Amino acid sequence: METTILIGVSLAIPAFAFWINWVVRLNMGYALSAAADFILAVATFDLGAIAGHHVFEKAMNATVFQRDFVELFICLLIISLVAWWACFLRLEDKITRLRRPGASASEQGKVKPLTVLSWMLVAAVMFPHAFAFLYK
Amino acid sequence: MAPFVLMALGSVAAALAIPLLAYVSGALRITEPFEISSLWGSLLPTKTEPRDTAQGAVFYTSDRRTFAASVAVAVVIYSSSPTIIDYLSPTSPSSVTPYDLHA
Repeated sequence: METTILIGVSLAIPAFAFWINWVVRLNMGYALSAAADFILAVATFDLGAIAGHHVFEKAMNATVFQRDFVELFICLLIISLVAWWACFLRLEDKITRLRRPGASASEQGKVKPLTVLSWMLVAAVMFPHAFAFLYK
Repeated sequence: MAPFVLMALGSVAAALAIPLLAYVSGALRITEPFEISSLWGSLLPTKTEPRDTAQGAVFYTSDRRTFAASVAVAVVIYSSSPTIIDYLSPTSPSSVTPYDLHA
């Protein structure tokens, strides 16, 4: 029963998050870049981990993270969502405008640095998640 | 060093490693931006011609299927992860065998 609830939560939360993501992007005319979607998926994972903390916290090696699991993942969730809203949506909007048909060569040259910047932010947000599980 | 300090320093290091990784892997020499959606798009038989939206932004027709594929992968990963963790955990009820109960 417990596993069924966890699976249900894990199915419902990502579907809901991706649906919101889809609606927001369609309404704002954004393209669907991978970095922004990825960070939303990370936020979704945080929600799933908080919802099923008694299962997820067992996978942690360090007692400090195990003890404060929920608090830690609430912080990580807030960071992910703020980064998505404040950075990734804006970066994606910028990339989308630079990739429009008829953009100048100098404008198109800015796409790669912005894409790299997006993935740098993804790495910065992702690292604490991996670290929390792997640190002993 | 405190784990939270290590976590913060590691985040900065991971972010700084991305441009280096992109340069070493040759991703910066690719004409199109190296996005996972491009990888998904290349795996799926879809059209990738850009078209103008009402706002004048570029929207790729392959993104709908890319999005659907991403959702499917995410759902599979998220739905299976608690079960896998529960199964692998030595203290979980699912890993207790009849022999353990008898002992």
